[in-house]
Amino acid sequence: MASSTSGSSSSSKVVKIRSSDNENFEVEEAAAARSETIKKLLEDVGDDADVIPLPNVDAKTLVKVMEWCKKHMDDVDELNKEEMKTWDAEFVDMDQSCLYNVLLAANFLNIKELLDQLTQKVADMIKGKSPEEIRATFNIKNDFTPEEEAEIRKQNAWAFE
Amino acid sequence: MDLISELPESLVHHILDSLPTKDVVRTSCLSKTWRRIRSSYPTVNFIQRYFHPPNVFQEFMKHSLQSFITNKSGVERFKLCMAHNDPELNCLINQWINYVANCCRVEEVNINMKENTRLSAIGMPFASNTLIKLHLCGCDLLDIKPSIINLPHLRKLVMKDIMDLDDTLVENLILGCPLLEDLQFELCDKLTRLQVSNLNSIKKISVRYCHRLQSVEVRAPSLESFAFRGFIEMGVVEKCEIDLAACETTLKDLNLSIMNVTSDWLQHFISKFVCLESLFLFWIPYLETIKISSPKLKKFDIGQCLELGEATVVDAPLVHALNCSYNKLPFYNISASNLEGVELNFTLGDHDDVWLNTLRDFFKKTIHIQNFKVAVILRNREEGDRVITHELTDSVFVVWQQLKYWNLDVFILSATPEHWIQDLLEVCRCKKMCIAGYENSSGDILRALEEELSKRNMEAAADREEFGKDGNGLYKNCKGRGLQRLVEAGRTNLAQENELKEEDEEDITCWIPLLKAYQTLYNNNIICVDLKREWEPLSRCRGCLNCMEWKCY
Repeated sequence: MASSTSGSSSSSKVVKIRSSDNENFEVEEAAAARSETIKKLLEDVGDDADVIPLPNVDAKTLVKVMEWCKKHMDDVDELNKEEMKTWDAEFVDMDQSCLYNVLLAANFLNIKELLDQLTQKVADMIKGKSPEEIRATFNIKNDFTPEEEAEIRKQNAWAFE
Repeated sequence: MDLISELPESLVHHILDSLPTKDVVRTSCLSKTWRRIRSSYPTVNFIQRYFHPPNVFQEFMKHSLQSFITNKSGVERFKLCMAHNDPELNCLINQWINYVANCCRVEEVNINMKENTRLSAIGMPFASNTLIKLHLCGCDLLDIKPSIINLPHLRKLVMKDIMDLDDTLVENLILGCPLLEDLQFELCDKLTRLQVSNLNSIKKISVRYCHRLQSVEVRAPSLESFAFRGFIEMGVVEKCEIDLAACETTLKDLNLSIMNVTSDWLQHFISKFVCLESLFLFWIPYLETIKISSPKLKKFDIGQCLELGEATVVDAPLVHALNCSYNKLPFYNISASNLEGVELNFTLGDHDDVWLNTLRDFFKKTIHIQNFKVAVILRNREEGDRVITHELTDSVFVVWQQLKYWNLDVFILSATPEHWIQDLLEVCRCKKMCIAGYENSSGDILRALEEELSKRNMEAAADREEFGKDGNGLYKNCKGRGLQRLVEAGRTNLAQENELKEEDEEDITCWIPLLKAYQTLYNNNIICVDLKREWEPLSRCRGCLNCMEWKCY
C-alpha cells in the first residue's frame, strides 16, 4: 500500500480525545492514529472533529496507551531497534490490574502491535509454570474436585511431566 | 482478584497464541473457566519433535480430534510439523486434514513435512470460502483436481517440495485465488512455466529452486517484491527467462540469485525498476560488468558474482546498507556518505595489492561508521575454523598484504560487540577464537563472547530440560534456525600456539605466520579461546551444495 503522504504532512496536527471519566487529552495525530479505532473515527468525522470520546478507557489507562503511541509514532530504523526493545520491555512491566486495563484498551482501540506485546507479556507469566504456580500468579480459584482435576491431568499426562 | 479469567475469551485466546502447545494444554486444569477457554481455542499446533516417545504424539492427535468433533467448536488455524517418518500416522493426519478442510471457519493451514518425511495427502482444503493462508511442504496431492480449486479469500500461498504441482495445476491455483497477496513456490520440480496475471492484489512473488522452470512471466500492477533463485545442475546454472513488465513502477524489493543471464540483460532488467529500495544479487556467474543507477536504493546486497569487474558503477546515493560477499566488490564508486551498515566477505588469496588499497580507501571514506569489526578465518570443514578477530584499523591492511597468498577468509561488519559475536559464530564453525586488541580494546569482544557462550549454555540447559537429552536445538533467540551449541574448552597462550605442528592432517601452515604477523601488530595482546561444539543445526539449504547461506532453511 502507498504510504499515506497526507498523514506525514499533518504529523504535527493535534487531536483531542476524552477518557471515560471525562478527562480531555491533546495528542499528536500521528500518535493517536496508531489506534485503528481512532484513525477510523478521525476519517469519519473529517477535519471538524471536536473531541473524540473513548467511553471504554479511563484517564489513567489512556495516559499509558498514549505514552506507547507517542514512542511508536515513527518508523524505527535498524539501529534503534534494540533501544526500542528495551523501552517496550520496561513499558509492559506493570502491575496486573494496570496490565489488564491497558490490554483491554489496546483491544478496544485496535493497536495490534501493543496488543501483541501485552499478550506476550501475560504469556511469559504462564510459560513453563506448573498449574499451581499459574493459579498463584493470577489468583485463579481451582473449582475442580480433586477427581476432576486428576482426570484432566491423566488425559494429557505428557503435558504435565 | 482473578482478573485474567474476566478477560474476553478472544483476548485469552490471543494470549494462548504466544504459548507452546504444552503450556496451552496445561491451562485446561486451572479452573472450569480455563477448561472452557481451552476447549473453544480454535488453534491446533502439532509439532512432532516436541513429543517423545512417538505414541504420545499419536495419542495427542487422536484425542484432540475427538474433542474438536465433540465440542463442535471448529478449527481456525491448523499447523502440523513432522520431523521424522511415522507411517502409522498417515491415516490420522488425513483424518485431520479432512476435518480441517470441512471446518466452516478455517483460516490458516500449514503442513510442513520436514527433512525426509513425506505425506500422501487426500482432501486438502482447495475449496474454502474462509481460508486465508495455505502453506504446504513435502506433500503429494493425490486427489487434487484443477477444476475444484476455489479459494476466494486466500491471501498467502506457499508450495514447497510439491511433486504434483505442474503448469496446469498452478494455472488453476492462480485462477482460483483472486485475492492472493503473497505467492511462493520452492522445489516444485514439475513446474516449467509460471504465468501470473489477473492477480490485482499480489505484492510478493518468490520462486526458488524449481529446477525445470524455463520462464516466469508476471503481469501484476501492484507487485512490490520479487525473488528468484535458480538451480545448479552438474555445475551449470540453469537458464530461465524472467519478464516482470507492468510492475516497473511498484517494485521495491528485487532478489535474484543463481541465474544464468548476461550483464546486458541484467542491467537492462534492473534499470526499469525506478522505485527499487532493496536489491539482492547472488551467484550470477556470467555477470561481468553492470551499471546500476537507482536513486531510491537503500539496501544493496551482492554476493558470489565472481566475474564482476572494475567497470561496475553503482550510482545509488541513498544506500545505507551494503553487503558484498565473495566478489570483486563493486565499492569503487559507491557513495559512502549515507552508509550506516556494511558487511564484507572476501578471500585474501583472491585479491592483489591494488584491490586491497581500494578497500583501504573505501574504509577511509566510511570513517563515520565507528564500529567495524574484522575476522580473519582459516577454514577447516572437518576440524572447525580458526579465527582472529579485532576492531578494524588502518594498519591491518599492511598485515593482509603480507598474507595475500593464503586462502584466508575475511569478514568485516559494522556491529556492536554482541551482534558481532552472534554473526561471527553463525558464519563460521569456530574451533579457536583469538581476540586481538591494543591494551584493553579486545575486552569488549571477549566479554561479548563470554556472555554469548553463557547465554547459549543456559538456553541449552532449558532446551534439554524441555525436550530431553539432545534438546531440539531451537533456542529462544535463534529465530528458528537453531544455534551451534558451544562451550569454552580452555584458553591457550601464544607461546603454546606458536609451537603448534601440523596435527591430524590439519592444514595450519598459514596459521603460524598469521598469528606472528598479528602478534607484532598487536604487541602480543591476543587472547586465544578454544571452543568445543556440542550440537549444531542441520539447516543448510537443500538447493545447492556450496551455498554460503544458513538463512534459507
